[in-house]
Amino acid sequence: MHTVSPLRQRRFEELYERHLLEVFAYCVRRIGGSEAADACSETFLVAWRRLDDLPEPPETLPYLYGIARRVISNHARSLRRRGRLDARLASLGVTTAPDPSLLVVQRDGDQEIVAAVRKLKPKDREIVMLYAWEDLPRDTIAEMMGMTRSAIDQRIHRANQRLARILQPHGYSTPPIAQEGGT
Amino acid sequence: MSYDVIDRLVRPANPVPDPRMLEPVEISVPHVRRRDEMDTRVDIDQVEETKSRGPWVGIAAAVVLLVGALALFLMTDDSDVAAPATPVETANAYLERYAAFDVDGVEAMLAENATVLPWEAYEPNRDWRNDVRYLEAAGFQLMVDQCTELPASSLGVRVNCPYEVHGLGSDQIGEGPFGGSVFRLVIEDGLVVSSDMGFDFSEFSGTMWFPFQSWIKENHSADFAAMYVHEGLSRQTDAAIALWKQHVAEYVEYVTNPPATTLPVEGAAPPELAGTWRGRSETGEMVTVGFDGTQISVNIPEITGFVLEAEISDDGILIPATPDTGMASTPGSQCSIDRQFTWSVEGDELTLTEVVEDTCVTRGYLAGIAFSKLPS
Repeated sequence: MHTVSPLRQRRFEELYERHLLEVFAYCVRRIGGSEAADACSETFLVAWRRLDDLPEPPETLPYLYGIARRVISNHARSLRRRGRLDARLASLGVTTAPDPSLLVVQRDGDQEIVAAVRKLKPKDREIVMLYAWEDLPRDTIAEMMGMTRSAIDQRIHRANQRLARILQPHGYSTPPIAQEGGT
Repeated sequence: MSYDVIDRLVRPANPVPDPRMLEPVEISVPHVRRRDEMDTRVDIDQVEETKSRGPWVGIAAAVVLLVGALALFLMTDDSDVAAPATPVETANAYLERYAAFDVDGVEAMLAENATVLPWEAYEPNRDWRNDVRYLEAAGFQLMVDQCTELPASSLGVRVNCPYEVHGLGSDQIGEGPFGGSVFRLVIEDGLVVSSDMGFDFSEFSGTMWFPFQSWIKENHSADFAAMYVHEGLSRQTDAAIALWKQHVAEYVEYVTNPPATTLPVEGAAPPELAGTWRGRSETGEMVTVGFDGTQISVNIPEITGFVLEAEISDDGILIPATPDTGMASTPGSQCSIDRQFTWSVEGDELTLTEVVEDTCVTRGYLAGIAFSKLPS
């Protein structure tokens, strides 16, 4: 047991209060509800340990997203392991609960779009999600991902083209890609 | 710049367009309170009531649980908070699992794509999981000393943890522990991203590894190929690990309870000689000599078949019943030796001194060994 100063404790509580939902939403968007709760919890545990290193706003939230991203990456392995367990249970006739991430996509058709996003390369996918769902400025994304702003622009552009190709056979009308260049 | 597909299709498909949607029940920062004052329950009635609100209820419950989990994490009174693990604490927890040979426990503390170098790390492609199983089977004990945090690198926080080992039953036969080894860990976010066992073979090899190997060759030669890739590398298949476990136990038994050789004696061993004595020869082998009444036994695990049949004369001279010809046994040698030993005991130390009749060999194998008396 360590003695913790009330100041430090208060700072963590403020951080938690301000960013819990955004971090939790970040996790839900990527791995679904039940796993997201664990990932979010771990993210804040790491934040507690690194409280002295946390940047001031507005960099705080992207920093927390960065921690969550790493936590989710670590979770992926245990999820794969659980997947193997589920398969083994299924072979024994035991069914397990459905993936909660399927529950959070609400509108008809959104699942196809989300599925298309999931087909992107991991780094492109993360950039697209940060841009479209976390609504982060591209400069901030560049800093988070350790890339230049132009590299981020290129990646989003490339992902946009790829998404257009994936979604067109599903009946989604997309403007001609030539429009990307502007006229 | 416009990204039409992303802006027009992906953005509206945001699974959680507004994080406040995750707040159908009240969420608050957990106040730091005593454990018995905390309320971490999910209010079932409230959840039932909100079921009709859609799929967010499950997530809301998760949020409440999350709040509870964090509250538990922060369990404390007003002045004392349970802080999460520091890198050194993480290292200690990791090595506690490693020393307990808890493969799953170790794996749970590894970051994705973590690098783990086992004890025979000089050999590429060794699976650390099998290595841990091998260490347990071969009677290893890892005794970790104080871990020290080093200046951080770009990879994470480096933590070094010196440790001593017992292995191949060394603790049971009175050898070791062997120091000089250092676990070199890199910790990040409470996980181990790099683990190098950093085993120091220098003392262990001569004292345990090769003597045990010699004993295997002499006594279980058929198993050698199953247990070793080559003389410097263990095999770690399931079958090999089972053999290591079996033979290490047998080796300990052999060394600690050497088979006695009954000898014809003219007189009983003097009381000072009674008991079991152990020493190391100039060439490194461990030698056990037992005097028990009228019986004398000599045991050298690495030299199977070595037996000193001796009598104790009236004047206390050890006289081999069968002449030990030593170098004289070499074909063509003109030497002849009829070794005899005098002995002296000082405190708990026994020395055998050879009486040499021939100068071809000035000293025999046992001469000059400082034997220490083992506790009875």
